Amino acid sequence: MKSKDSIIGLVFALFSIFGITYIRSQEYISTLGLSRGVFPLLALVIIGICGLLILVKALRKPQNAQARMKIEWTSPEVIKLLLIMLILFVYVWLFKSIGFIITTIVFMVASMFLYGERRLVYLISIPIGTTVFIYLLFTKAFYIMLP
Amino acid sequence: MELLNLPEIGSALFQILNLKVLLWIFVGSIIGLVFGATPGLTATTAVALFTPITFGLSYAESFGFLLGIYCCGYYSGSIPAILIKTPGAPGNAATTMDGYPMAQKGRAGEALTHSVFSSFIGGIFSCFALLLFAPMIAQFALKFGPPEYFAIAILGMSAVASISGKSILKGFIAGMLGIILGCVGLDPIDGLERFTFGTVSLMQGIGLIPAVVGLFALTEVFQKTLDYNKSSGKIITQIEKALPDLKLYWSVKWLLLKSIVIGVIIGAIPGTGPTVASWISYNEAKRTAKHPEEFGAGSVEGIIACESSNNAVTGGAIIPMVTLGIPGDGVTAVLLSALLIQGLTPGPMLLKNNFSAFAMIIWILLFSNLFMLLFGLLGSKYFPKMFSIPIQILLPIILVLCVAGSYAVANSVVDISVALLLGIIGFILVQFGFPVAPMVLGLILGPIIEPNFRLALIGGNMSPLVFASSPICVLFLLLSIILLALIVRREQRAAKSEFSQSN
Repeated sequence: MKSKDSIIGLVFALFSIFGITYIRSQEYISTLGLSRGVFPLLALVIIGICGLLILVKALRKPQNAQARMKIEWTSPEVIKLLLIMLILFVYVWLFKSIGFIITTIVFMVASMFLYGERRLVYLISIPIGTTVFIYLLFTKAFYIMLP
Repeated sequence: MELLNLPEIGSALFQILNLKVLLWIFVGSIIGLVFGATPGLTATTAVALFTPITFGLSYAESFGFLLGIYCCGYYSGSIPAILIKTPGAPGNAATTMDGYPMAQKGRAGEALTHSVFSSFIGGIFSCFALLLFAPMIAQFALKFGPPEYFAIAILGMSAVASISGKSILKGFIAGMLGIILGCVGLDPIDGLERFTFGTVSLMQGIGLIPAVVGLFALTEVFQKTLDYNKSSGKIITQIEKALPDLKLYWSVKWLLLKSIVIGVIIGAIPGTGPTVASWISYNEAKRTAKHPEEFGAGSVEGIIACESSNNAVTGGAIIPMVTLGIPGDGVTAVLLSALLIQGLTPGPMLLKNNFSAFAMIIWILLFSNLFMLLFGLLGSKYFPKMFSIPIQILLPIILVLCVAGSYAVANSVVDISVALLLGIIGFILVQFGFPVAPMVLGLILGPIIEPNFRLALIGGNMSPLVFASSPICVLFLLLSIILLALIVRREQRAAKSEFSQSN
């Protein structure tokens, strides 16, 4: 099993090559003076060099490298995290079309439930209370319109 | 320009002595206290979340609110450091070394008192440093051109090494990723698009506020979700009453002064901040202490050194922000946008044309420090209750604030999407041992380094000798190399000593 460092070192070395190829394909570099591609190109070269150095260090001294790459995809914490990210995506996607109040209340109920809250009083009162408070704070105190 | 415009300073005080402004400072201080005391949230996140919603406030109210968050947020990270052995922010990590051992010995109240009082002294002194040095630097900075601005920003980038944690290589990668993020949008010189992938919404570039929200707040929430069932340290709930012992502070006056000076200077170096300042002060205090063996076991001097330095950064970091338009730390990077929102352009002309705006910042900082002292001394016995908010309620509220705060920047869902994406990227990077702070640093300083570099070369007919023609430029570039070399050498020594200890 590869170490995390060897994987990430390789990833960034490849990222650097991909980035440099992209810059050249978009013609960000011109022969006249310092064009818009030079600075990001320099950053990508540094990323590539650092990535290669991390990879080489990990291969030469694996005992010093970041721990083995091992993700327990079925562990409750990872599943919880993935579900939270999923409902967050859905919340953001529907935020503007449905509106702040409804989406926020539903999101808060769902996320509190996922985090382990089971008390019905809290599952109802806290989302509604928090949503109304934030809505009034933004719109009345700070004059920021929410959808 | 007069160095100290006394009538303007007086007039600024009258504008601050307004119930509404004082109320905003008060509210900001409470928010700073809560955010700073919640491990992982930090004052930077709070300022980023709340800056967009200050659009509708006046200058004094807006800065009263944000600087209240700033001052209190920097101090309150010491509360969990002392009570649960977990710093609220990296800048308070050094306080854990002596704060928690003191609390374990039944002296939690004393540790909290030293923390707030030292922070107060550091904060007040840094206000005077700001008042004294900013006008001088602003006058001097009128002569600065692109080579000097480039060199100062490079000095800031060299600080990447000091906030990279265990791996400087990973820190550099994160810093360069931040620079590439800063390249998204329109090229600052030619006005041509870069990395927009044909998307109109990316022409504006990646906003700093959504980036900070994503990389700091969302990354932390995701990490807390993953660590959900891991128990945190035991909370010390017994807080005895303790008032500051002024005789003790007089006896350590030179330690205090040294720590404050370190905090102000480090704060004034772009891109550094309280983490670097507090550790340097702590190590320096230990090195010169009469009883260095007490450090790490509940030394009062350890807490005084860290916390006075930590809050001294606040005034120091504002110096380059107002005089050069270059942020001293993460919070001042966000405060730059707050200044622009209020129609003020940071830089040497700000003090010349708007001295009263600058003077208001000083008065607001003074009042913020006073509120911080009051909360810290009167509210300490209630602090353990702050950690009793169930995480299943706290995390969803933080997520909603992140979404609403990111949306408020430009009433755009794109900003929320950026925050979310960067939150996921930041979380993945953290799993591989990468620090996210350098990424924010790169995002802030990249748009300063690149255009000034290119303009300097254009002005010098593409000759790199243009950077050697200015003594200030040469000085800052040399300082960058020296700083980088010192940090790399320190990290190598630390790695060797860790290796020999494990063998």
